[in-house]
Amino acid sequence: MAALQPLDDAVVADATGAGEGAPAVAATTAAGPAAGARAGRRARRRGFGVAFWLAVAWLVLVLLAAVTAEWLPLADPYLPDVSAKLDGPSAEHPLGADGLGRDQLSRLVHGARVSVTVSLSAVGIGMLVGGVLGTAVGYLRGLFETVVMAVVDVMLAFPSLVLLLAVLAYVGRSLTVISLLIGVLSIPVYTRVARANTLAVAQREFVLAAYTLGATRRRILFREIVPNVALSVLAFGLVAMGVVIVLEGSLAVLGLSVPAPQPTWGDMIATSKTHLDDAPHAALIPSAAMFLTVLSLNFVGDTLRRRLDVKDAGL
Amino acid sequence: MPLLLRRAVALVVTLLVVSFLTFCLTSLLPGDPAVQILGPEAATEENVAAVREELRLDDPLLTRYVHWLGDAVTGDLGRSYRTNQPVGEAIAERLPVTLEIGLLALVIALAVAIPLGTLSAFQAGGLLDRVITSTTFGVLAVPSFMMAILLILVFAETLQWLPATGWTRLTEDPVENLRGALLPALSLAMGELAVYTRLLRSDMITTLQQDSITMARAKGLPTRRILFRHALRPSSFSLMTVVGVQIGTIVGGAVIVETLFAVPGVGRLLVDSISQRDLMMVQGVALVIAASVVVVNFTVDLLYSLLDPRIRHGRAATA
Amino acid sequence: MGLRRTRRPRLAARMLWALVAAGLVAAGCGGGGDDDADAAEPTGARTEKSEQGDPVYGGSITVGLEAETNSWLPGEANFANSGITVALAIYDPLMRRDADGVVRPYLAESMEPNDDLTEWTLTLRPGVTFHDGTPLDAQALKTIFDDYLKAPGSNLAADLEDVEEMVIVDDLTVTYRLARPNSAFPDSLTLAAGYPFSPTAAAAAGEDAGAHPVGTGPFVFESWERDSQLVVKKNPNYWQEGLPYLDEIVFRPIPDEDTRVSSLTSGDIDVLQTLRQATVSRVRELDGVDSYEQLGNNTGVNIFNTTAPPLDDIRVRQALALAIDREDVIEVLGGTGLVPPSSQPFGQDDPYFSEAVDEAWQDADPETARELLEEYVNDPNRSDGKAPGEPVSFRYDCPPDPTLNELSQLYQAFWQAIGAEVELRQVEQATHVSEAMAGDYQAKCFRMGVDRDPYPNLKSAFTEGSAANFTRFTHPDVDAALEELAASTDIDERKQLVEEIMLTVNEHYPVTYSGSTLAAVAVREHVKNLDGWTFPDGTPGSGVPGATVMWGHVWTTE
Repeated sequence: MAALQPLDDAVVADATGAGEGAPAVAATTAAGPAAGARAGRRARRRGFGVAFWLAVAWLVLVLLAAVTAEWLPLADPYLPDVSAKLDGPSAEHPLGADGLGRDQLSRLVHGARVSVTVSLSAVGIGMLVGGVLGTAVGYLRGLFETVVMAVVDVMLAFPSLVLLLAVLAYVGRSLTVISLLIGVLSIPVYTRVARANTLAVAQREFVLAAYTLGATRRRILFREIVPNVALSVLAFGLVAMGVVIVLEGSLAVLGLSVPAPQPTWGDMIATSKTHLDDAPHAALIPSAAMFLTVLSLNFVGDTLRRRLDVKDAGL
Repeated sequence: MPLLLRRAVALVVTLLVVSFLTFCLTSLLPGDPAVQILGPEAATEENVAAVREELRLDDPLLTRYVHWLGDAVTGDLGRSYRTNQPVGEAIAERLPVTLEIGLLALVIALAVAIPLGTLSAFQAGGLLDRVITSTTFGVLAVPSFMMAILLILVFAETLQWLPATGWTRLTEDPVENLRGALLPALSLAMGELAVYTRLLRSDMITTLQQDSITMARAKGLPTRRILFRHALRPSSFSLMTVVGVQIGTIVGGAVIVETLFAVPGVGRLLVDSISQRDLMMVQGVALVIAASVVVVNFTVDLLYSLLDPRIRHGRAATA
Repeated sequence: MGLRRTRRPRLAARMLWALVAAGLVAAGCGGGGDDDADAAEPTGARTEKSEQGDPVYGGSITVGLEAETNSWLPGEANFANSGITVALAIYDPLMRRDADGVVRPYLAESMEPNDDLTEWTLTLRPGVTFHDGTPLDAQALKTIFDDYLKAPGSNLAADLEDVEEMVIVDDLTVTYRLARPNSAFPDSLTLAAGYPFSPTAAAAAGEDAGAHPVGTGPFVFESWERDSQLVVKKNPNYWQEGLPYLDEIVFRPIPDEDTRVSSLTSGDIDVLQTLRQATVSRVRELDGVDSYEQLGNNTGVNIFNTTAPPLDDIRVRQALALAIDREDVIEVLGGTGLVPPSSQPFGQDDPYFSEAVDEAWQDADPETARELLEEYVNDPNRSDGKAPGEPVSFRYDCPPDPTLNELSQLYQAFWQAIGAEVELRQVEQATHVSEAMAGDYQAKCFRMGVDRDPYPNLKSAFTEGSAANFTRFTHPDVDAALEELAASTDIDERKQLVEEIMLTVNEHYPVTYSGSTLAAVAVREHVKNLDGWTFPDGTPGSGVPGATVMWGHVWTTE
């Protein structure tokens, strides 16, 4: 999947949408432990800065909105009021109304749930399955590696759009199915990232030293390699989360996102793009929310990666 | 060459698996291709039966696959159910369009990302770096369809410099062709250049701390020379890898951008074919996409091993 | 010209939006969506246009279409409106409707039935040739009919089912022999079955015939790149003296409504075709653009499967119908001020439009709707087998599309407001149609169009055994009236029969209606005379029905 690729379009459309990010990350983070460490050292700074905390605050806000949407004193996100169609911000609708006259603020808050669920579960699945698999093959190597990587290659070469369209048409669209699918599609990327990092870490001085000191393979894997690889995979995951959120928008354009009337940011933008002429706010507000979230995720991910590398370098 | 042989085997296996899976998946899709071909008014039982018979849709899945495979091996990908156009011809028509837009996007992205990434790394932590970093993060957060709408608004509707939609063949009128390709390529390039800038920046920061660079600086070489002559090449490893993969994925096309700009590319063909149950076309397009991914990946790997023998041991695995 | 209102703030708002999207501006909300307050304007087609002037020869225009067409060979091609408009450049229809809706010969010279309407004799004009030089004669028509239209797998075979054979009478005359009387038969020849194509060219092209159309029309097919453009050039040997005016037309499918409008604004295209109400109201506001509009015999509907519980119960269907506020639906579709609420497939301007049917259709009445639904819910013998008191639940399908997406959510809200549980499902067009045909659905959004004589359309929609009877609704009164309709040529009697059919159908609520569809062809002002075409004898034609254009009569002043 798109990993660092922002080409949400490419992601959905492209054959190997699922492949794009892989080397990107592999490159940054795998080159990371060796090279990035020094970068980290240079970037070392005390404190995280105001921007970082602002980004974190926004993410927390989005998360809170997703969790508590139902209990917040908001208008009904499903109740149309055609007379308020595309109304601008007012006391009644603080962020205006959409094409059916539904309250945008309320839909935005409820829509956060989809973005959070899809991104967390997709990244979670990819990270867990792909991370474990990648570390395992990178460490054990041999036939196991050959087989797993062959499967990964096939997955990457398979046009993901065919899979998405076919599966969604067959099982029907739901938040669960979509999250699962995006998760599965991103496994190959994480596998590659984890494997590349494992290969790199396994040759680092401290690992070689541990061997010489007679540490067991198990001990080396869990004490030396896994923690290092996990950090890289995690940093990648944070950035990928943003990509998944944007991807949901593209799926919505293709009519492949969570079914209506469940509000989603992507659907809010895709549906309102027809009204750009008369009521730009209808598409603009959810776009801004998506924009801020992805920006924050990238920012936090990037900052954390630098910090983690610092720690790395201290080893 | 054992590597070459292994890759060739991998290619064949991948293509077999991909084509078989595509066959299975598309056959599972609800909606009868025969009904699609006839349209609702004409889809009487006899008619549907006749069409299914003609297309051999009632044969068992495996028989149909083997039959298709037999033809495919001889280079015959069949004819589209929907348009009756030979699948190979359809792909040959669309591939250049998609490739041109994809490659143009790549060139634009690189042309912008290389100076930006280098500058950003040179002044890492400085004001310029921060501006570049936040801008690229920002660009990453804009879905490509919004980018496309924005570009049409600015360059086609307001400034009227470029056409909003339309495609002219390169052989017909190279200038018009370029004008038509520019906006779709730009909408794709925006996202790419953000990624490339980030990648180059992080690698470049590393390179700039290496002894050779410190040495060059000590010698008093001009900064520009150091950056672009000495530092750029060792810093572009990640970039090259990603660019390689990007080239592999170009063939898949970019559905939304192609649809918005009404460009006759492979992505649109694939999506339309799936939604219209044009199984023969889906099959052919999937095959070509898979093949191009495998071939490009292989070429990139091969290039690396030729360029830098060290890679055979460690990093080649990443690519 | 200067009369047209412009809304400059629109551009400003979009520019603001653009800046924000680019991430250059921190935040801020766009201007409010001030709805147009010109509700006073009457609904229906707008007639105001720029001065047409005198015909000019020469020039080339580019036309933006809603969609690409799969093939140009009748029998193989699925012609939607966007396909018909291209076909009308390359082919001539044997028959066509005049301004009063009467079907008259266009390419044909005459069309006469026998007394019991079972044989129709068509006479061709002498001296007409296809673009490849093949003469258009009786033998050509017969070859087309036998080898293509009635061939197995032809999508026109069902339409021509009643035609048992075509007999050659003389060099320019053929007779269609029908299995049963059909007064509406000439109507079949207004569409694809009546577009003669060169049988020699089609035979030579074989499987590729669909990509190399050769007709008798005002323009000769030049080249076609699928999903990109189709080019036609002036036919120098056209059988109608003095036509066509244009030298060249380029047809370009631009599926996205928004970018199609952008292309007209930026001048990439000169003509745009649309069936979307929101687009019609947008093009009306553009400077230097003429909008040729026609309220077609086409309306948005919901279809209910009358054999699937709980929708097999008329109380449920009626309740759902009464829950719908058609004005709200039209507003959401962007058609307020453009189109009237509908109650039948016929537009207000159509001869078959019935006031009685319109009055009989009830407006929204949520109270009654709720009562009807409650009556069903509390019925111990309710058809869905649920325990009394449990709410009614069903699934509503619609294809993925921003506008339809909003539409289905509005319907869901209407129905939930009266106590029904509605699950929405987006289905691809292919699945949507297949399910409708198989009766494998409960409720779906659809369109109901009668582009032709009411008889074939109503017959296929509401009779037993028809593949297109999606609702599975049949009624003996409808069957009887249809039979009479087929045997009648008297327009008043036919109107009466169609009215009876529609009253019976609407009493049983197999479909509910929203609003008529205003189809539009928007052109930059230099393109003239889109709707001014005439028959060879000078009879005024039917304008631009469904946004299809007789291109031979169009000219440009540029």
